[in-house]
Amino acid sequence: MESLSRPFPTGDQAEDADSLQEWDEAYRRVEAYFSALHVDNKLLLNSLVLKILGRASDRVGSEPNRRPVVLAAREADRHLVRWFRQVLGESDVEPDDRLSARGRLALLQVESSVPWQKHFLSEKPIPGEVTEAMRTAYLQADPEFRFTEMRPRPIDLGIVDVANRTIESMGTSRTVLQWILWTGFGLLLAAIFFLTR
Amino acid sequence: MSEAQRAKSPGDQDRGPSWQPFVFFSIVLGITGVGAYLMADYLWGLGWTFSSGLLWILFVVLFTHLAFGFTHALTGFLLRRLHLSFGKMPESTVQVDVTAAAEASRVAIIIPIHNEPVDRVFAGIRAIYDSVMAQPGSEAFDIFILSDSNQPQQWVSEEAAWVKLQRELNAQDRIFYRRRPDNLGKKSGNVSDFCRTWGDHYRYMVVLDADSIMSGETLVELLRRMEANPQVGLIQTAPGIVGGASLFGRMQQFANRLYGAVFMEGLGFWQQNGGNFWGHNAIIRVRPFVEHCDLPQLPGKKPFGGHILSHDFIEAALLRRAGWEVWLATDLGGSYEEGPQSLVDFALRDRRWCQGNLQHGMLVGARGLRGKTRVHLVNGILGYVSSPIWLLFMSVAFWRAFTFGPQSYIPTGGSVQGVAALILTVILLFTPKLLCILDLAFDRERSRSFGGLLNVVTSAVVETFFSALIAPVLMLFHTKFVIWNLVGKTVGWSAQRRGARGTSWDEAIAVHGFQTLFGMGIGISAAAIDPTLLWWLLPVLFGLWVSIPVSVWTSRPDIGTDAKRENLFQTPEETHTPAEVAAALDSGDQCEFARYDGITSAVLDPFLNAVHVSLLRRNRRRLVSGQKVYGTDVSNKVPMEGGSHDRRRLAERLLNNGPQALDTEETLAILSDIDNMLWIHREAWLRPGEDLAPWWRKAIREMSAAVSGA
Repeated sequence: MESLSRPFPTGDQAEDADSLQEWDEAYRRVEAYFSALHVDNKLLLNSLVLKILGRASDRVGSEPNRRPVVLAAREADRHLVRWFRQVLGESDVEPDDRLSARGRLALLQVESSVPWQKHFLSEKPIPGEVTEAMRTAYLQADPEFRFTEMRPRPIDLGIVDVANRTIESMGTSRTVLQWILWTGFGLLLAAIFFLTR
Repeated sequence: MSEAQRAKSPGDQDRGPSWQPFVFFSIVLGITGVGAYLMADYLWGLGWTFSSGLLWILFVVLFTHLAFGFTHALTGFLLRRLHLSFGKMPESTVQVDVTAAAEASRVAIIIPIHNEPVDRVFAGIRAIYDSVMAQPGSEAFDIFILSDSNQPQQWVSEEAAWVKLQRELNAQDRIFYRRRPDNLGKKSGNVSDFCRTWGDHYRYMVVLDADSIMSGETLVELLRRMEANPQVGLIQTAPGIVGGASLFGRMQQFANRLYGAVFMEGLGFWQQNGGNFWGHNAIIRVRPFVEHCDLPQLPGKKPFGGHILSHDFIEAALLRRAGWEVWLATDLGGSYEEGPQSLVDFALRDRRWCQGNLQHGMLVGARGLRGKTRVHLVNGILGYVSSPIWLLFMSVAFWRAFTFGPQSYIPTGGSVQGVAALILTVILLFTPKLLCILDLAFDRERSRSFGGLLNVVTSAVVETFFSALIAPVLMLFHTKFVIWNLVGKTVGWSAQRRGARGTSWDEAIAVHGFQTLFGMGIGISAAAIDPTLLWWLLPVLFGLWVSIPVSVWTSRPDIGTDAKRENLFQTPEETHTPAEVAAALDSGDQCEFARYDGITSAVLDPFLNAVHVSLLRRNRRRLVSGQKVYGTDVSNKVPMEGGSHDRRRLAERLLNNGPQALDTEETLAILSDIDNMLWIHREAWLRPGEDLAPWWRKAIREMSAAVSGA
């Protein structure tokens, strides 16, 4: 519970009402993100958020133009990426956003089988059980690809093919042929009409 | 002979002609002959005119179709009552140990989906998986969810539901998910894509629809039968309809369960190893399917040319052409599907099927097809074309009465033949239902599962009454669909509407308004000519007059519930609901992963975002490495990496203005972009509230509130 020893943001920023509201927003943002990562132990969640907010408040002096919510969110992201890099044993070459996605995926895969919460964002060495599980975790969406050729075999449509080829070969006179057919059909209906009277 | 060798030598497994089709079609021909003779004799007595000839031809076509249906019921009834197995797939002498077979013969249960209700689909998959796992030989089965969904909400919800299911069932290496960026070739293209990519892993595949349910016992039995019969390429089960909630849905499922058993037996009798494929709830041998069933494009323009819509019939035809047997498993239960819940939904489905079946007209004369295949194709076409033929028959008869008066139908000295033709027609129409009820009367246990014989008779009478009301409505629907197809008006192949929601009065008026007016117009004309003529036409016209209220009332779930309370249209699955049916139909709550609409969850939820990106990467790898076998240029379908400038602008718009600022295409473009999905996730959480659209602020606030309230 190292983070509990970190002070809540102090100084002028925390004293006026606006600042309190700003830090409350920052608290809620970080808390919401960690909760979305299934950190469901309230005590742990609270201590992690306070830890992040403590670090964020340290940066207020060097980054006075940034609002607390931005500082806190960035601090949370920085910690998360660093923790994932440590757990997954990745070098600095892997971009942060990709590493973060991979880490989140690994966390999702192992969360029910490995006691990871108490080590989450911890700066102490991570037990081998957790690192091993997360490094080997992967999302299996499908089996290994084993590609097979599948090509349509032609179907000889018989008389339909002959008719189609004939019509195709008639080119521009196709429209004329269609009109003749429709006129013939109309004449047939007319013939039926008169012959049935 | 190895399977590969067998696939290359079509025709070598043919059992030769069997006597069953000869007997069956002789009965059809005999009945048709009697009807045609009686009608000809009757018309001759009236004095032969051109219209007599026309009426006779139309009558014979309709009567043949009627006799075909009647003969199914007659042979099915006799086979069932005499306990004869002439319609069943012969048992092989090969003894199969399913557990041993499971090690060598892997089965993929594939479920192609396209914007289907996610909760229902995944509840069904869970039910099937649980049922299979309880069986010996379960290790042979994997499940593939093959999505063609092109709505952002569906896509993300499917991913969320899949991950949830995989985790909850601990089935990471058994239940798989793949989404295609396009739906090239529609369902058959989706299945072909599976075959090209993973088909080589599996000896068999079981194709299911989004609403299909199959028991583990049936699936394992299908595997056993395929293993025992290496000459068989496909076994189709006869799915029973379940889940009927509206009155219409309940009548459909009752009719399916009561009449289906007898008709299926008759169907199995004549088709033997020349069966058909209905697109789902069937097991298929993968290798011959891969080698013979990739469908070519038909020449010419839509609706007859182009992509083959009703692919299932043709796939069975191609398997038969290559020498593989196709059987209908009439004796297997444990196979279910859901049906339309309203007349409007039924007609919408028929509109798609009509287009597909009429297209088969191009293939009826194709060289190399088997005779039984041609019968299947013609029967499918007649299922729709018989409606305009019926309308034409009635029009000619009406016109004749208009011209010569209704008395012109009464020959001097009376007509025994006319009355006999009428009685024979009525017998062909109603005897099949009577035979089915009689069949049930001999089977006490089955009768009890329908709620008792009295209950069955009452339900059948009500069902027959409504069928008679609906028949002329369907006649006009089908006639319209056939004409639309002939003039080239096509329809999309969209997802079927599932679930009972009820047809509104506005919708019913829009859909049935013309039919009602048409019926009234004919009625007024008939009354003006001669009131007797109106009475003759009343059985047809009445259905049209009341089509709007009938359509609305039969679609309402509350009336369906009332009928259920009264045990009307009770089915065996309601009396003793199979566990897998109960589990599948109880879809439960919405997936907890996808709290918000599609893209909001994919952006904000850190796990779902990671899953989504991981699946995009996997899909990218699939499309790039399999480019050769997919045979098309996939470059514009591959999920993007390195986020283009345009897409980043879209992503900015999404963050600044919310998901409403993007249309479906733009949302899909963002969801398909690996780097932008990673970027948006971070930005949404890192930016101050004022740099985000109110939508995102609200969503984050709600997540925060959910934490506080937890």
